[in-house]
This record gives sequence, C-alpha cells and structure tokens, in this order.
Amino acid sequence: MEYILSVKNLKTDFVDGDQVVHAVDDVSFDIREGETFGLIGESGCGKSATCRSLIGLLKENGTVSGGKVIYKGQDITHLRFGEMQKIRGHEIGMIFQEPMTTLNPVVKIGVQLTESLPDTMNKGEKRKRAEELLRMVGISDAAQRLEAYPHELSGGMRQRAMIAIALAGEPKLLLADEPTTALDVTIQDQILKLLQRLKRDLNMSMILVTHDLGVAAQVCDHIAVMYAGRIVEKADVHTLFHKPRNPYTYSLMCSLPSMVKKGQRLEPIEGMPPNLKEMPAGCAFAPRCRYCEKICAEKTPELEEIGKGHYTRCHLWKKLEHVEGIVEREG
Amino acid sequence: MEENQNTLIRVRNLSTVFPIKQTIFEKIKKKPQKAVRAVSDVSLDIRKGETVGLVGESGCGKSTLARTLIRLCEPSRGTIEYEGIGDLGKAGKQELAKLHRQMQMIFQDPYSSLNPRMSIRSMFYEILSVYHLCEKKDYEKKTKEILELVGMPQEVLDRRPSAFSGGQRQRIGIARALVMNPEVLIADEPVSALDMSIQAQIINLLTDLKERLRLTMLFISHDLRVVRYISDRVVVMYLGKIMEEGETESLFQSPGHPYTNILIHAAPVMNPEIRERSYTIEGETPSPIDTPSGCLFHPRCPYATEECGKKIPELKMYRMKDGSIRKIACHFPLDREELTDAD
Ligand SMILES: Nc1ncnc2c1ncn2[C@@H]1O[C@H](COP(=O)(O)OP(=O)(O)OP(=O)(O)O)[C@@H](O)[C@H]1O
Ligand SMILES: Nc1ncnc2c1ncn2[C@@H]1O[C@H](COP(=O)(O)OP(=O)(O)OP(=O)(O)O)[C@@H](O)[C@H]1O
Ligand code: SF4
Ligand code: SF4
Ligand SMILES: [Mg+2]
Ligand SMILES: [Mg+2]
Repeated sequence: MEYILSVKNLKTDFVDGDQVVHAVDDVSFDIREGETFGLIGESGCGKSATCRSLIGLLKENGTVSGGKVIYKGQDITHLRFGEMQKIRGHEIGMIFQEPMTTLNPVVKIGVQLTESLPDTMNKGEKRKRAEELLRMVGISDAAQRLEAYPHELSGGMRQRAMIAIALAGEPKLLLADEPTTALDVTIQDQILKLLQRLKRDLNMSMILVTHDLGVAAQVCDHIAVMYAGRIVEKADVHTLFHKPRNPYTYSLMCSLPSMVKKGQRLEPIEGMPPNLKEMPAGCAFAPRCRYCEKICAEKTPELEEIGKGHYTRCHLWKKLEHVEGIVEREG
Repeated sequence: MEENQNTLIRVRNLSTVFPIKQTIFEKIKKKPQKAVRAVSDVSLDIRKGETVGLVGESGCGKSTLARTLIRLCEPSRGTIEYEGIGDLGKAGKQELAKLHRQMQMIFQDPYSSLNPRMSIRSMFYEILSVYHLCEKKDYEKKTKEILELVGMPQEVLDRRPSAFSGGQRQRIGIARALVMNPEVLIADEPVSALDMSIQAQIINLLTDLKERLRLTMLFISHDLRVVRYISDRVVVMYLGKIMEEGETESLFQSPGHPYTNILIHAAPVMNPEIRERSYTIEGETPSPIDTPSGCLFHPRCPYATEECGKKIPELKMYRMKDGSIRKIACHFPLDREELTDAD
C-alpha cells in the first residue's frame, strides 16, 4: 500500500441562510506513510474545512458533497458516527486550530487528557502518562497543571495541552491545524522536534496547516497551496520554495515583513478573495493577479503538471519561469 | 528612573499572582499555599503615540500583564497610573468606564471573546449604539467600513462567530476593538492566525492609525519579524519578569540579555535545506510556581556562572556599544559598554 491517505476531488459545502458556501472545491492529494504534507493559503481558503472533512467533524451546517477520502485503503468519506469514532484518536488524531473551540472550559485538563488515553491503561498508569505528555509538550509543574481548567493556562499552554491530547492516542496520521501559532520560537522548535521524533518512532504521517513559511520549510516534505477552496499549486518543499510557479504563491511570499525595510509599507495582495457563494467564471485569482490576461477571466485554469510532481493552476505560469523563490530573496 | 513628559501609562512594581487551590490533605497539613507568579515586580512606562512590543516565552505572563493593565486581572502588588485618570487602584466606577472606552484590547483567543449567539451585525450595531459612535442610519455603513479595513468580505454580516475560519474570527476581534476609536490599543497576538498577506494589511492599518491618530499600542507577538517592524521599543519577559527593554533596532542588532539573544536568533529560516535551527534553548521549561533561585534564566543560560544561581540580577541601565541606552537584568550583559548611573 503506497499511500496512507488519498483525498480525491473533495468538495465541502456550508449552508449559510439560503445560500451555499463552497469552502472546499475539488481538492485532491495523497500522503505517504511517514510524510509531512503542508497546507498553506489565505485565511478563509478552506484549510480547516479540508481537515475537518477528513474525519467527519464539520459544523452541523457543513457537508462533504463530493469526492472521496481513502484511509489505509478504506473509504471513510461517509462513515457512521460509531465507526468514525474508532478511527478518531488512535488512527487519525487532530490538533484543532483554536483550543478554546474544542477544549471543554469546565473540565480539568487532566480529565480531558486521560479521556483520550487508551482504555487498556488503569487509572494510575493514565495519570502517569498524562503527566508525561504534559512534560513532553514543555509544560512544567505537570502534576499541578493537570488540575487546572483551560482558562487557567496561557494561550500557548492551552495549545500545547491540545497537542498532548491529540498525541495521547498515538495516531498514525496527525492532522495539525496551525499547531504552533501561540508559541514562541523556542517552544515552537521543541514542539516541531517532538513531532518529528514521533514521526520517526511511530512512523506517523502528518498534515500540517500553517501560515508560517519558516515552519513549513523546516518540516514539510510536500506542500499544497490553496486559494478560495482550491489547490492552486502543489510540489515538494524544495521546488515550492525555490521555484514557485503560481502567481498566488508568489504574491503570498512577497508580503513578508522581512522583505521590506522599516518604514517602508508592507505589500499585501491587493483586493479581496472571491465570494465563495458565487465563484466568478475564469481564474478565481484573476481580479488580484498582476499577470492576468484576457484568457484568465474567460476560462478556469486546471491543475496542470508542469514538472515531476509539480502542479500549478494557472494559464500563464510560464511568465513566472524566471522569478526567484523565497530562499533566494530572503538571502 | 527617567521621567518623561509624555508618559501615558506608568506601571510600578506590578505583580499578579494566581494562588493554587489546595487539596484537603494539604490544608489539614497546613502546607503553605503555592501560587503561579504570572507577573512579578514589573515596572514600565508607555509613552503617548509609541508602540511597545512585548515578547517572551509562552506562559511567561504577557497576557496577564496586558489583562492587569486594563483591570481584567487584579494586581496583587504595585500600581498602574494613567494620565488623566490617575492611580487605577483608587479609580472609581466613572474613571474605569472612561478607561474602558479609551483603551481597547484585542484578545489572544478570539473565540472566547466573541458572543457565540450574536451575529456579527448585531454585535457591531450594539457597540455602535451603546457608545453612540454614529447615527442609527449609518450603522450598516460603518460596520461594513470597518470590516473592509480588516479584509473581511461583506456578505458575512448575518453569520455568527462559529461560522468563520480562525483567521476571520481574529479579524472580527480586531475590527471590534478598532471601531471604538481607542487611544490605547492592547493587541495580544493580533495577527497570529493570519496569512502573510492579511498580516501585512493589518499591520499597515495599525501603522496608519498610529501616524494619523497617535494611537498608543502594546503589541504582544511571537512573530519577531512583525515585532521588529511595528514596535518603537521592545520589552522581553521571562517567567514573569522583564529581562530587557530597549529601542527596537538596537535591541535586535545587539541584544544584551542572553535570553533575548537566543529568542531573536531562534526563528526558523525560510529555507528547506536548513532544517536545524542554530539557536535553541535546552533544558526543562522552568516552573512559575517554584521559580529558580538567583537569575531566573540561569538553569538554561549558556553563560551562567555560580554567582547567577545565587544573586538576583536587577534590571539596570546600560549604555550599549551603539550608544543607545538599554535596561538589562543580567550580571554579565552582552555588548554593553559602560554602566551609566542606574536609576
Ligand atoms: N460553519 C460555517 N458556516 C458557513 N461558512 C463557513 C463555516 N465554517 C467556515 N466557513 C467558511 O468557509 C471558508 C473556509 O473556512 P476554513 O475554516 O476552512 O478556512 P481556513 O483556510 O482554515 O482559514 P484560517 O486560516 O483563517 O483558519 C471560510 O470562508 C469560512 O468563512
Ligand atoms: N486565571 C488564571 N488562573 C490561574 N493561573 C493563570 C490564570 N491566567 C494565567 N495563569 C498562569 O499565569 C502564567 C502566565 O500566563 P499568561 O497567559 O500571562 O502567559 P503568556 O505570556 O500570555 O503566554 P502565551 O504566550 O502562551 O499566551 C501561566 O503559568 C498561566 O498558567
Ligand atoms: S490564470 Fe491568469 S489570473 Fe489566474 S493566476 Fe494565472 S495569470 Fe493570474
Ligand atoms: S545573570 Fe547569569 S544566568 Fe542570568 S542571564 Fe545573565 S549570565 Fe545568564
Ligand atoms: Mg483554519
Ligand atoms: Mg498570552
């Protein structure tokens, strides 16, 4: 078996009043065992919706309306609740983007943590393991912190408690949705190293959603860039950082604060992402794209393979043939 | 300490501690009650119109300091004075109401700071009406305007907070703070969930407000590139205390405290060929309950000597090699020239 996870033409919709938000539109990717697959893209482009779709944890108004999710050869797209429960935790674990949306505010951290440990452990073993997990994610005074409620932890400690809960089940595939946004660089490094070690020791695979390109460069093997619900570029990490061939990817990389001198204005991508309820004809990025030509507004570009394993969704990608990647620009 | 005409917020010896609940066993045994020392003896001046960046390890007390400044946490010691309001400890209801109007906070955790049952429209209309920010007929226009400034689409007004992405919720939090036209903004990780492009847009927006309205800001962030870009001055905290404080560029170019030095060099590089970071911190995360003796950083400091474990270094002023003045709490600061008359 080659892939631990295959996502084929995934579509996810949310009902919003009498309209439909097409949050994920025809997304496909494969993940090998032991691989880290990065998902990046503009806020609101469908990264979390993609992850949540994989394990059936969409909000009530969301549905997977098309495509397939194959985990270890099994189609898990529309599993019943009970069957999905068996997969969640020990097979596929998830670190959610905002700890407060998933941690129970009135239950102690220790209880929430032990709940995710396997039932084969007895009470004493669970307690010991829970303390160990907290220490692994860099939380001191573990014994005391198990007695704390979520609001008694700092933002970054809550995020690390979430990570500990996801790791408690020793998942084979970890969906990590922005797992280090609340962490300073030194603790971030410790957590990324911990994840790398688990990948090695348990042969864990991982989907990493992040907006931090430094983090993506440090740990990802492959990366997909999303825009307005679709994948617009997909490549191995080296190709993406050295030779981006999609105008959106390229513009995203140009808006970093380190690229400009102090006092100079930062350069966000002009304009707004399209309305996901009424996607325009043609390329979704066209109104904001500096390379845009007539064809872009007329025809929707397909995801095209332009090099081995390098895909881009752009009619005019050849125009970018000479642009330098972020590695060269950061120096 | 130097006095400044323009000081807007004056913090002196501020401490905020959270006592840990005791078990019955501990109570019977009459064990001393322990506490998390989240903020410990912090003194700080924030001047009108300046942006102060606040950085430090996760859990070191940044949010607690911010929350104490706007009285969402009770300080256990020390004073906070505001120009025009006076000592917050003695402030009455009216003064506190005035404070809450002038000073807005963007919370680190947008989800828990938004009312889940209220649509975005009702939330903004309520603020606009309670604070008389504009006429009723302009509510919709004003709401759309502020949402556009933070890059939010317009068709979302009737959604509730749960129907947004993480970064969209964060921007709703920013818009809510800015719609009040605050004089002081405490921004606790305001761009942590945003992609680079929207981060750039928000930072440009804050820079404009700073220039046009002389907005004063306390800016907490783990992203040191952003802190370097936006702040005039930077304060570095570790385990509840200030370790270093100084002018941004100088501090980034020649950090004086060993912890600052590691922090600003430990960011990942944007190069997939370089996967190891050259600077990291070894050793267990220290406890804010049983804090280390002497210098708080000594168990992990690469330069620690025996003295460091025994004697607490005070936050003192130094003249750095580049001529700037810096406050550093370390027995052996890096890159300094001579001691100026401290305090
Ligand atoms: N419950 C919901 N109802 C309606 N629309 C929703 C709902 N949840 C998400 N959306 C919309 O779907 C789109 C994708 O959301 P998603 O959370 O996947 O974004 P994201 O890529 O994770 O963004 P971020 O980086 O900000 O977290 C967004 O535009 C969002 O507004
Ligand atoms: N309400 C509370 N009750 C008990 N302890 C608390 C409370 N709020 C904060 N603490 C503790 O105070 C310390 C400092 O927390 P704070 O949230 O200020 O950290 P921070 O610097 O903002 O960290 P982060 O970068 O992770 O957000 C932590 O040890 C935390 O557990
Ligand atoms: S197809 Fe056209 S508009 Fe779309 S990204 Fe390519 S050049 Fe830009
Ligand atoms: S006082 Fe000693 S241990 Fe503390 S930072 Fe300075 S050199 Fe390191
Ligand atoms: Mg998300
Ligand atoms: Mg915080």
